[in-house]
Amino acid sequence: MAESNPTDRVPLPPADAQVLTTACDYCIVGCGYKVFTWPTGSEGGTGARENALGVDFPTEQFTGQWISPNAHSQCVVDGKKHNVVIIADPDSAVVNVNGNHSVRGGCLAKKVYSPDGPTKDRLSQPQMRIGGKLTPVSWELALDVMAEVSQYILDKFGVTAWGMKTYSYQYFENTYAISKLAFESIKTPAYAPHDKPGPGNDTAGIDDTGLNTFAASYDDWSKADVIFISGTDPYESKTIIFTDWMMKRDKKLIMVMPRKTTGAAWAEKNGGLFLPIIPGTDTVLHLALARLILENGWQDQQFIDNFVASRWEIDSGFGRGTRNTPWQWRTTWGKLGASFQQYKEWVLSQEIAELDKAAEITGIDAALIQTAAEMIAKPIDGKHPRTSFALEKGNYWSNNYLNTASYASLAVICGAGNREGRVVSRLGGHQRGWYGAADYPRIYSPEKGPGRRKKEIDLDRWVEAGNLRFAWVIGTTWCQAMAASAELMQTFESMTTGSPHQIDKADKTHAVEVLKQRVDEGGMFIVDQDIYLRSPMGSQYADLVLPAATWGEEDFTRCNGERRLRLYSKFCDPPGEAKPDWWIIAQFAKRMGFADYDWKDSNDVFEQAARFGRKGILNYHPLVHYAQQSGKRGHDLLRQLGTHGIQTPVRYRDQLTEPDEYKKYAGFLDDPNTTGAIVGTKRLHDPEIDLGDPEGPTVHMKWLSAFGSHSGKAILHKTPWELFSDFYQRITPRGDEFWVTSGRVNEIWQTMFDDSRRDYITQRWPEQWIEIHPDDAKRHGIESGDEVQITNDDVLIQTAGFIAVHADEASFTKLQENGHIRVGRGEMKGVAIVTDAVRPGVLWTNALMPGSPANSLVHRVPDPITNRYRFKLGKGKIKKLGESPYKSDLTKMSFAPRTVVV
Amino acid sequence: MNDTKGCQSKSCVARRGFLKTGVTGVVTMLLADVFPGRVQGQDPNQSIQVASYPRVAVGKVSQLEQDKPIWFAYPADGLHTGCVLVKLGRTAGGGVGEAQDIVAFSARCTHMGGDMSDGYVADHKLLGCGEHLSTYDLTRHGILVAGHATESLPQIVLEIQDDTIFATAIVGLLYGYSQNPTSEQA
Repeated sequence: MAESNPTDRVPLPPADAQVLTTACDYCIVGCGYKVFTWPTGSEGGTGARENALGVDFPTEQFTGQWISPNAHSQCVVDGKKHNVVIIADPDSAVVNVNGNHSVRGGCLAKKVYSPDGPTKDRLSQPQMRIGGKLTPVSWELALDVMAEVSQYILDKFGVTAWGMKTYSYQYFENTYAISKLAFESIKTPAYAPHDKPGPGNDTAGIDDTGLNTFAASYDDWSKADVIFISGTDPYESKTIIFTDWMMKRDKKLIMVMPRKTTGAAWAEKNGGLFLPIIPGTDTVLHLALARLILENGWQDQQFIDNFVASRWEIDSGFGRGTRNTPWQWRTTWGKLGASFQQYKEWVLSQEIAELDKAAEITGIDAALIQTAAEMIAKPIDGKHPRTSFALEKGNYWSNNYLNTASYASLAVICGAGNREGRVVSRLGGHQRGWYGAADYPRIYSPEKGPGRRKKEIDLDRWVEAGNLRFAWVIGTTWCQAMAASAELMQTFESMTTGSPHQIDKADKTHAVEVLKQRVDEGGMFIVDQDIYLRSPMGSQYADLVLPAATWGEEDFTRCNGERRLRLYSKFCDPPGEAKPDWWIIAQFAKRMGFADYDWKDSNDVFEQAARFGRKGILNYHPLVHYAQQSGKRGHDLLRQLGTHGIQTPVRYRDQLTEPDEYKKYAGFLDDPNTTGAIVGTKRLHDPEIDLGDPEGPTVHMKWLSAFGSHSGKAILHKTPWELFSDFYQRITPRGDEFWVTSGRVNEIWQTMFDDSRRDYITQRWPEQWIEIHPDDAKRHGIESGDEVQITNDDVLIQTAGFIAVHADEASFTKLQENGHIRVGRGEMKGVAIVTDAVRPGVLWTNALMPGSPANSLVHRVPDPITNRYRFKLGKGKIKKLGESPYKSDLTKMSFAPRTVVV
Repeated sequence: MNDTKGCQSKSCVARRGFLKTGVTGVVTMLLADVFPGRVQGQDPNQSIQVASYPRVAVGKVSQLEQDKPIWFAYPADGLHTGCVLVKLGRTAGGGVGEAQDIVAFSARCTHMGGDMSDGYVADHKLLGCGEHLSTYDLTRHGILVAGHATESLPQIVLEIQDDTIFATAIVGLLYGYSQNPTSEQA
C-alpha cells in the first residue's frame, strides 16, 4: 500500500494501565482526551474486563472507543519504555461530545517523544553554535552566556535592544513566566507574540465595540438559527465547533471566503450560503449588508435601544476606556464611534454600500448579498432570526481595523452580542494560553501614533532597522510566520552568521566576548528555544538552541475557545535534558538577579499567576483560593474536573443558585467539606446572568453582565473605506498578477512541526501546494500535479515611520511620500491543484508550510491603526516549472476536490 | 448491495460469533506481491505486514459496471466488515483488471465508523461519510482527501482469476477492531 504502510493491529491498554486526562495540544477547541500508558511487553485483551477502556472490541460506531493505529505510540515513563494510547474522551459531555475528534487530535499519540520513533529528533540538550556547528553544552554554560551578554546589552543599549518573540498560547505557566521576565523584570517593549509584529489587539474593531472576542460558549453556536461566518471555515480549522455544535439542528450557515471549503459546501447543501469574496473587500460587504438592513428596517431596534451607546454615552464616557490609549481616539471625537442615528446616516450615505457597487467591488453576486441580508436580519412572522456572528483570520488578517469594526457593527444592529444563540465571537486559532504577569510597558515603546499616542512596537521593523541586539525566540519560526518572510530572513542572516564574530570554543569567557563584539558592531545574539530544531532560526541563525519540554511532559493549564480551563496532565518523560519553558526562564532570571522566580514546580507558577488574572476573562483565582481552602494544590483541584474543566472567569459563591443545566455546562465544584463552591461562566456580556453579590475572591467585572465599554453599551463604528483604499489600490494585482491568499486545512497543524513526523500526514501532503482556478490554469498551461512557482517582485516593506505626529502621517500615502516604503522580493513553490473552489484571479495556498512560506509574498506594511499585517493579501505571478512526482504516483497526495459533501 | 446498511447494533453484535478476532498468522509480504504489477512509483520491495486472510469471491468482472459499487462483506459477515467493490474507470493504486481500475475498500469510515455503503461519488472517485464529512480517494489507496479520519481507508487486496474477482487480504485496520478479523474458515 502507500507510504504510510498501515498496520492492521493496535495494542490495547491492559486493565491496569495508567489513565490520565488532558486536552488536545492543537486548535482552539481543545477537545478532551484520555491518555493510557503501560509498560511495553504487555497488552490488554478484547474483552471489556481485559482492557482499560472497559469495552468489548470490536467497538460500536460513534462511541469514540476505537483506538486507531495512529492513536498509539511509544513513550518513556520514569525512564522505562511504555506504550501510549491517546483517544478523545468517550465520556465527554462538553466540547467534543462522546469522543468526537479531528484528524489532528486523533493522531496526538504520534507527537509523543519516542526515542526509537519518528520523534526521536526532538531537541534533548542545550546546544551552542561553535565553529558554525551546533554542539551540545551544559545548561549552566548556555544560561551563563545568555545572562552575561544580556546584562551587557541592557546596560549599553537599553531595554529596547533586548527582545523576545514567543508563542502567546503554550500554557499559562510558561506565558506567565515569559511576561514576568519581559514586562516586569526587564521591562522591555521589544516583544512580539508569534502571530503579529507586536502586542495588542487581534481584532481591535470588535474590542472597541465592547464585545469580548471569546464571549460565546459553544452551546450558543448550536442555539443559533443563522451563523454568519467571516474569513474562516471552522470545519477546516476548529473542527469540533463545526461538527458537534454548528452542524446540529436546522441551521443556516453563511460563509464568506475567497475559496470554497468542505464546510462552505455543507452550508450550501443545507440551506445556507457561500459568498466567494475578492480578498480584502469584506468591509464593503459588511456595509452593503448593513445598508440593506437599514433601508428595509430589519434591524433589531429594541436591542439597539437597550444596548447601543448614544453619542453622549460615547463621548462623556471616554469611549471604551481611559484617555490616551489606542482605543480612545478611535471611539471618541466622532471620528469612528457613532450613535445608531449617526451610524445609519453614515452607512446610507456611502456609495460603496450601494448593492450594485458593493457587488462589483466584492465580486459577490448582488442577489447573494441580498439573500444574505434577509437571512441574517429579516424578521420572520415579526420575530428577528437568532443570528450569531463568527470570524477569524480571513477577516482580520486582510483589513484589520475596518473589517472587524464594520463586522461588529453589522452584528450589533442584528441584535447579536449578549444572548443565547445570538453572539459575536472569534472562533479562534490557538487556545487561550496567555497569562500576563504585568502589562506591556507601552511607555517605553519606540512607536507613537499621531498625537500623544504611544503605540506597541512593530518588532520586525525594529529588527530591520538594526535596533535589536538580543532576541530570545520561543516556540515560533518568526520569519515564516511574519510578512515578507524571505526579506526578514536576509536581515537575520546578515546580523548573525553574516557577522565576523562567531563562537569557536565552548568557553564562557570567549563566547561572551565574541557576542559582545558582535552586538557592538550592530549584530545580534539569538537564542532559539523549541522542541525541534527549526529552520532557519534554530538551524542557521541561533547561537544557542535550547530544548523545551512540552505537552504531556509537564502539568500545564490553559483555556479553550469557550474559556474552558483544564489540566493537561504530564504522562511521560521529556527527551534528555529538555525543560519546560517556565523553568528555563526562571534559571535565566535568577542569574540576572531578578526576584521571585523560585518556583518548585509548574503548580507553583499556576498558583502565583492566579492573582494576576483577576480582572481578566481567564480568571481562575477563585479556583486556587478554593483549592487552598480545601488543602489542595490548584493543579490537583483542576485534575478532579477532568476533561470537563470549568469555564473562566471562575466565580466563588457561598451557595450556588445557578440552574443545573448551567452548572453542568460551565463546570462547578461544590465540595461538602469546604465552605462555598466555585462555578464557571458560560457566556459574557449576559444581562440575564445570575451573579449574586460579589463573594470571597470573586470579582464582578462589568463585562460579565454588560458590554466592555465605559457605558456598558455596545459602540457602533463608522468605517471609512478611505482609511484603507490607498494601500488596497497599490497592492491590487495588475496584468498577469494574482491575489495570493492562504489558509489552513484540517490535516496540518501550523508549521507541521509534528505533522512532518507523521507519515500518515506527509503521505497526504508531502509538499506545499497551490490551488488555482481551471480558467487561470488553462491560460498558464498548468495541470494538477505540476510543480509551480509564484514570484512577487513588488513586496512592499515599511522601513520607518516609528513616530507619527500629524493625523494622516501613518497612512500608506504619507509613508510612501516620506520614503518609508521599500520594495522587496519573495517567492514560493508548490504542487498545483486545479480546482474551481478558488475564485478566478486568486491563488490559494497553505499558510505555514515549512520551506515554502506563503508569507514571502505578503507585504510588510501593517494596518496603521492597529499595527497588524495583511497576511491574506499577498500577490504574485505564477509559472509552471515541471511535473511533480505526485502527478503520476498514486501512493501520495490527492488532487480530488475538498468540497464534496455526501 | 447494502443489505446491512444501518446495521448498528444488536444484530451485528450477534454476528460477532461468526468472526474470530485472533488472527491465525501474520505474514510479511512485499508490496509488489500485495498489489502485483500495480505498485506505482514506489519501491516494490518495500515490505508490509498483512494478516493471513481468506480468499473470497466478491464479484465478476463481466458483471461489474463502471461507477456502480457492489457491497460485500470481508473477511466474513460481521460487525463493520462491509466493503465496496467498484470499477472506477480510472487507473487506481492497487487496481485490478485490464485498466487497473477495479478496487475494493472497507465501507466504514475510519473516523467514527460511519457507514459509507452509499457514499460513492462517481465524479471524483471518492468514498465519503455524511456524519463528519470525511472523504477518501479511491484512486490513491484510500488516502483521506478531507475530513477527520486518522487512517486511510482499509483497502481490500483483489485478484482476478478468469472472470472472478477474489478478495485476498486487507491492508489497514478495520474500524472498531484491535486486529483484523478473519473468518473461522480462514
